Amino acid sequence: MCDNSLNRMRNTSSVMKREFLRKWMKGLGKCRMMKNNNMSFLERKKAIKLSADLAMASTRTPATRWSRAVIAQAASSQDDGYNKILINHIVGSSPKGKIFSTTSPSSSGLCRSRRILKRRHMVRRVVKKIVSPMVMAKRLVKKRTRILKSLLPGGESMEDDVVLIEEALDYIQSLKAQVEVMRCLAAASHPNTNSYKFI
Amino acid sequence: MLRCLNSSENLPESCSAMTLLERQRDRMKWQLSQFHHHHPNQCFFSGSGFEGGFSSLQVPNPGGMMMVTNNGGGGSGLGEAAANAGSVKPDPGLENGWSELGKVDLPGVGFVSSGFNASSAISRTSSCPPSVAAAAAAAEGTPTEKMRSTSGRESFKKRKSEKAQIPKAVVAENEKNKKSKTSGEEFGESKVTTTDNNHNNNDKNRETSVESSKENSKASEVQNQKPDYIHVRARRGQATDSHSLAERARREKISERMKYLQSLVPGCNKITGKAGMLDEIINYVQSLQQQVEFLSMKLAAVNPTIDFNIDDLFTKEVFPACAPTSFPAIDMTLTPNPAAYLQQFDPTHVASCSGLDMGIINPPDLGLRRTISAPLALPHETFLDSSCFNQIMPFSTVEGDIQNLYNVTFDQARSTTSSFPSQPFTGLIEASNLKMDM
Repeated sequence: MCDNSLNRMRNTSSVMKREFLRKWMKGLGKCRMMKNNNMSFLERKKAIKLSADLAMASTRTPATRWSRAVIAQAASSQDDGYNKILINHIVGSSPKGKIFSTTSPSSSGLCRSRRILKRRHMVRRVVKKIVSPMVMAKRLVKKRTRILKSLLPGGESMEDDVVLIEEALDYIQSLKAQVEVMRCLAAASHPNTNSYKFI
Repeated sequence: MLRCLNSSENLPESCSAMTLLERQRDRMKWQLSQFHHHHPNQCFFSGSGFEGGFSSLQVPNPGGMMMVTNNGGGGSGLGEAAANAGSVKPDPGLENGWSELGKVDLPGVGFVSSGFNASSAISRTSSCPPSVAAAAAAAEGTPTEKMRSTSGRESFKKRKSEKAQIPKAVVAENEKNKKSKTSGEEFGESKVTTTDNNHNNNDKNRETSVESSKENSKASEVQNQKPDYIHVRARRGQATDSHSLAERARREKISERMKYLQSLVPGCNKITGKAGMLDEIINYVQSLQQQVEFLSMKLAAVNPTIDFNIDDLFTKEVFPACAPTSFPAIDMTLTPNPAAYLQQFDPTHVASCSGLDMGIINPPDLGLRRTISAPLALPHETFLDSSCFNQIMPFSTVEGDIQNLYNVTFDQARSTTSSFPSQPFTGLIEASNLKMDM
């Protein structure tokens, strides 16, 4: 199982990127159609990010938990109608019940991780006992595992370390692909604007 | 087990030494065997059984009535028997013989656990009266008595040598009797046809049967101990129960994933330790998420309307450019650790075993040749060399050379086999042994 997944992850990076771009474009087109081109900057940013996330998740949907968590998160956010339409458009033929049933916390990972870090410092200051290095290392690993769980979408439900690390692997890879594509798109759109400016 | 075999090998010698009294003892043994046939489950080596047997056997033996009843009386019966003999038969030669016999046999009675010896001694003493009754006044009695006494002395010496061995054997065999009832039954069955040799045969048979049963039990244990997780190998000193095996498998899985993550996350190659790696991963994930955030903002800022009408163009133009630089080919260089370890370990192990065996079996000439050729040999054969050295030690002329050779090989071993840490240690031990022997 692990070898298969690892091989698949390794082989499908470029395929994944293409798929992601296709879906993202599709989602952006849907956004544009729905919002009728009159959006504020924040709205645009939100729409871009959401569509990118959803596209990324939909490329990995059947495989991983984090993608399902992303989709469920998007589905359970405030402006339901819009998001759900977008999800349906991007994800398409995905089993809805399965996806929407997975409830996950909607707060962003960054805030939580910072809070945990703060708490860790406090704990360290308060507890000044002499602990053996083994126990200390275990504690450190536990803390970091918790932070990583909070960073991954849907990481709260991952109890097993093996599952967590696998999900982290997949998530990192897909994030990388996403960043690459977005950077390419930004780089592709910048010269146009620049050339427009220069001309 | 070796001691048991030794004792069983010593027994026929003692029996052959006493060939003079074979007939009488045969008769006694036959009666004994009948007695044992009646009580097959009784422990063979408990001297009480034999003495009881003698006390029951005395009735058909009219010649040595008094003597034998005294024998049956208890452990000190032999001394009393000797005293009785001395009082009843005032023959000087006989008296000497009897006193000697008494002296000889009294310590022998001391250890009752060695049933066979005690029985032989008793039979000897009990076999005396018929001969004495047949030729009481004749002078022929004295040589036989002397012969008997000498044989008794010899057997006593042997008994002394056996003294240390037999109780252990008895203890071991008691354990065996507890372990396997079938061997006891076999023992009882074969007791029906006992002669002198059959005693030894019985011992051997029993031992072989016990050995076979032990081996069977070992084999069954090995079969039972076959773990559920065959792919997980427990190294030395690691626990082998299923929980720890599963835990180990899980940890191995995690470390595998961690390695893959290491190759995925840049700048994570030099970090060892799970906490540091997790830190790196967390930082990387955070940075990636921030990048996504930033890029989406950038895209939103760049494009006032979200129309990326470059779909087809994009897939054609940009992706060939970014595809080669996008993902470095990730090589999973996961070394199959246990297999490698075994491959590293096995040759040395086998070499050590073979070396030990050959060191034991080979005559010293072969050993010498091998030691001379040792510096040219592989470093794995250092075990072999050391064992041979141990064997050659009695040759005093070659000692200095051997010492030098040994030092050379030892240094070689130390320098070349740094990967296998236990080898230098054994080498050290061997060296200390060498010095002790010198």
